[in-house]
Amino acid sequence: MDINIKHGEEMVVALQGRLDTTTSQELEAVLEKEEVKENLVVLEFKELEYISSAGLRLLLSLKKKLEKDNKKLEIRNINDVVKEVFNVTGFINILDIK
Amino acid sequence: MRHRFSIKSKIILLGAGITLILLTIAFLVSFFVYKKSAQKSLIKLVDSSLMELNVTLKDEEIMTNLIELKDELLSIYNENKANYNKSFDNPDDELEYYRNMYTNFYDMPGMIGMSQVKLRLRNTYQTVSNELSSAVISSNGVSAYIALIDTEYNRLIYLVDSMYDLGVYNGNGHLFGSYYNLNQDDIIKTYKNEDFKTYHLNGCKTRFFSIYDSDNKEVAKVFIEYNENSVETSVSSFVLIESLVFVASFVVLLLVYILFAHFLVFKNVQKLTKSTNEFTQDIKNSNELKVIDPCVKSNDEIGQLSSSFVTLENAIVEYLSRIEEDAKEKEKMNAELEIASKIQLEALPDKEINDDNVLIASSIKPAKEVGGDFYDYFYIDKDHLAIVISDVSGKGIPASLFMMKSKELIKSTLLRKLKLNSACDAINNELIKNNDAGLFITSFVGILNVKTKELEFVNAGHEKPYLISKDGIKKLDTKSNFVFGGLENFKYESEKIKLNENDKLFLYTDGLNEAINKNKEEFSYVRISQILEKYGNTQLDNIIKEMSLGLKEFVGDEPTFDDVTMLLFELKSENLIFEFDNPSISIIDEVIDKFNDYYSFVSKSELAKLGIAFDEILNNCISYEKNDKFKLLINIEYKNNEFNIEIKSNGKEFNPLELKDNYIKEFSEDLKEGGMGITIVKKMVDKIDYERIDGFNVLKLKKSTK
Repeated sequence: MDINIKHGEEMVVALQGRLDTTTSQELEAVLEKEEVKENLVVLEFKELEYISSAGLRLLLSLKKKLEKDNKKLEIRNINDVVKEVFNVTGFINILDIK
Repeated sequence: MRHRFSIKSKIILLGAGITLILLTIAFLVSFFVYKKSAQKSLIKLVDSSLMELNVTLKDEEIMTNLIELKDELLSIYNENKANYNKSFDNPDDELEYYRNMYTNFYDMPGMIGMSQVKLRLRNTYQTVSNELSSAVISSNGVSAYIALIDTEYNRLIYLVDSMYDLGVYNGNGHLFGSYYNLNQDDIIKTYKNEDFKTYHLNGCKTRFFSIYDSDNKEVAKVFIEYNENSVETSVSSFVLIESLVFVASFVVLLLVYILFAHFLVFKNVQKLTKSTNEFTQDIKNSNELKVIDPCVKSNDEIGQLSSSFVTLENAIVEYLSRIEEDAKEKEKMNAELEIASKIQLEALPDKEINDDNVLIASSIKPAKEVGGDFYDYFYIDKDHLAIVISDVSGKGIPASLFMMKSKELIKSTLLRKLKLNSACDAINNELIKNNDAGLFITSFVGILNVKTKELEFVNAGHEKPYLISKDGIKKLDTKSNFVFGGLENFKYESEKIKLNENDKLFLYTDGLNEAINKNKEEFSYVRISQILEKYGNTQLDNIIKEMSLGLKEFVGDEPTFDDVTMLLFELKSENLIFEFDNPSISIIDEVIDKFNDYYSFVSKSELAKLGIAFDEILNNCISYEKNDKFKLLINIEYKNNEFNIEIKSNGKEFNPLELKDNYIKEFSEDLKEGGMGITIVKKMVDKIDYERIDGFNVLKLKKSTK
């Protein structure tokens, strides 16, 4: 999977490929090293093929971590498959999706 | 580049040399002419004085007295002539000697007792002497005298001298009655009586004439001695002036010469050089070229050179513009070739087949923009897939046009569903028609029955394909039929082979095996086999990639002369099967990648849903069981647009479907433990069942892709 991070007014993390068992570990490691200065972290899902539960767990822990610092997590441009996963799991209600 | 001696300095040096030589000659000639004429004019002067004397002496009285004086002298001389040869120690002795001899004439002036006759003769002597003196002065001479010639004793006897020396004698002049011994030359000349000639008498240049009495009898000879010192003085002043004139003329002539040379040659040469340089500079800087006229107006060789230069410039300008046009033409041609090449490549199948039955990959690299190789594959009907690879004889545009024709012909013929050998006969005969260029193609034409996995093919003079199967790599020993377009009514024979699941057939054109490296070695079948041995079990795209890389590495920078075309197809097994012993998490990616590739013809979102299902289930299995005996088997079947997937693992009995749905809360507490995956899986597939069979947990998934 390709991870592309841009800092600015908001921190944008663009993901390409699959966010699954293997790649969510990869993403977790990358995000741990990244210092979040912005108040808003955006996950750009435009190029994301799908997400599995391992990815969902990462989203949840990321959200919790950010909220602790009074920061927000936003997810953008999800495709139908990801939307379906979010729907099934109820994540659609707890995530800020645009 | 400047030479040490430029043409300019050479011409100037040459001019200076010639001027110097000419001036020197002129100098010498004028010197001698001047000298000669100065001598002549001196002689003329002497002669005119002599003539004047002649007139004076013709005076009757003078002549009478002179004759009398002569007679007096001769009367005494004749008496004494035998004793004459005297030499004197000093002038006084000489004077004494002649005074004693000619007593009558040597009386001191004013002496009493001198007879009237003697006085008259003495006066005559004095008068004549004065006349002689005037003649000396007027002739610029040294002295003058009147003398008699004694032919007996060869003597010159002085009668009257310009220096009046009857009285006091200082050794200059000639005493009355004294003599001079003539040498042989003098004698001859005086006898010959050649008047007005120059003689060396008494050590002096002398001219004389004879005077005659009224009876035309010679009385005596009148002599004027002169010297040429005056001539030499005037000549030397002439030389001085001439030298100045010489230098001045030299300088002036040289300047005039240089000016002429400058305006006639150097200036024009400079103009020419300047124009040439400008023109050359324009060419170098690729400025817009225009003809630069050196403007040399002269009609000489430089003028001709200048107009030749203009002609040359015109020719160059024309030539360059033609080249430019040619380049534009070529560029246009290249652009057109590029388009042609694009059209040609577009004529090839645009989509690599990847369906339930077969997977096809291909590669074509024309040696020129347009090539003569082609391949084709298409379904004749639901069960029959045609596979064609061909190589047109020749290259470039003719080959490419023939290629387009052949490709369409083969396709349309095969679509007529004839028997393969009849179809090939038809293709051959059709290609022979209207083929004056004599082009032909080698072809491998195959028809694969995807149901029976039977491949019927005709090899029309083409390279034999390689079969990659479970048993290894094998070059198919096909019958070699004649090429298409070569021999009318040739009867083609077809062959059949039975292929198995996962068999691959590698087709290629001779551009591959005959590619040459810098050592003139061929890539050869050996290297093709080696690469197939090594990569034959990988995915089709990878095999082609490795073959291309191997070829590139082998050929290096050598130019390729032939198109290189590869076509590779694989018979798919209906099932995609994985078997893992004690797998780690990393196999999940491998399974999903392979799955996506294998079924790339299925819609992406369907594959994504199954990808999620695999990720969740496999993650579950692998995280639960970790031991050496752990086995994981996956069998994926895709038929009639429906996936049937079986995932078996030999761990503890565990039915994930029994896990509850409501997991958000649960796994938010314990992030590592995931049961929520199964909720997602259920949504991603149409049906999921669990069974425990022979110690295996078996999950069966069903998903339709309609």
